[in-house]
Amino acid sequence: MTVVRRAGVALTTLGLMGAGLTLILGFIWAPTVDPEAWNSPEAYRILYWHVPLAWSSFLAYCVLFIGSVAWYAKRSELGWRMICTGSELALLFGLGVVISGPIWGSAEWGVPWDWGDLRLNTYGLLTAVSLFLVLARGSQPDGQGTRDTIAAIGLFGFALVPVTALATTWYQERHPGIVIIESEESGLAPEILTLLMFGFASFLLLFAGFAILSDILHRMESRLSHLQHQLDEEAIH
Amino acid sequence: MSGVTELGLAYAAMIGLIGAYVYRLVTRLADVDARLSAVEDAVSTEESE
Repeated sequence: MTVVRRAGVALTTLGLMGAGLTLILGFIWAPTVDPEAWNSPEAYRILYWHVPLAWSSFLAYCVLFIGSVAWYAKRSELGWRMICTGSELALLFGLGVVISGPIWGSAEWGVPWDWGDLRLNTYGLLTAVSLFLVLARGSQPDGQGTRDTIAAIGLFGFALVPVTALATTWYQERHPGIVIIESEESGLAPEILTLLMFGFASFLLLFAGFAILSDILHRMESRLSHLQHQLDEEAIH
Repeated sequence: MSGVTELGLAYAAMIGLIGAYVYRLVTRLADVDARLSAVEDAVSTEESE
């Protein structure tokens, strides 16, 4: 096993352990929120994974964006691998957010989704973009045309990130505001914020581990495809 | 209603999602690793001939 692969496995393991610890501390150590202010005071504990998942998904879109620019600027293989890794991780973390959010919404708001809320709808669209990118990459033959199309949609997807991130500041309907900035307004206790930051650090490690392992996988797949093509050529001639 | 059921359901879904991704990543790495070794062996055998 190479050093890079070992680092990927170690970061993934540390990230998983940190995420597990965050979950346990979220249940046994974090205080309950004011039952007068929230309809489902226990359900708020979803935020210890939901929020780090959302922030990690924004990081994945940054990887996707850098990869898309690198692909367009230099037709870089590294750029293409960043598109592959970024779109897969954006889908993974995005699905985590899109699944857990409506479950919390059902408990807190009485409805899983609010079609009038900018944050919910732009985030849903972002996740749909990452789903499209992953499906398109799997179903289309690999070539410059396919890569150009996927990179263009990756750039479009990234444009939605700042809109989604700041949606609760510009136009708040149901979704709670940015908890770090608006902690006094949202009434979050310091223990909750501390645990949330610990959870984010854990998901950051997990993200880094997944990104390294995913990049190794895509590099190996690319080499495998190249060697198979070489063998086919030699068999023909 | 305190939302304990929804809390459990949401965490089960998120754990399942991350678990499925880790499983898929590990099995794909092992599969591609094995196929790559086989093809590299085939290429080096052809080159030595």
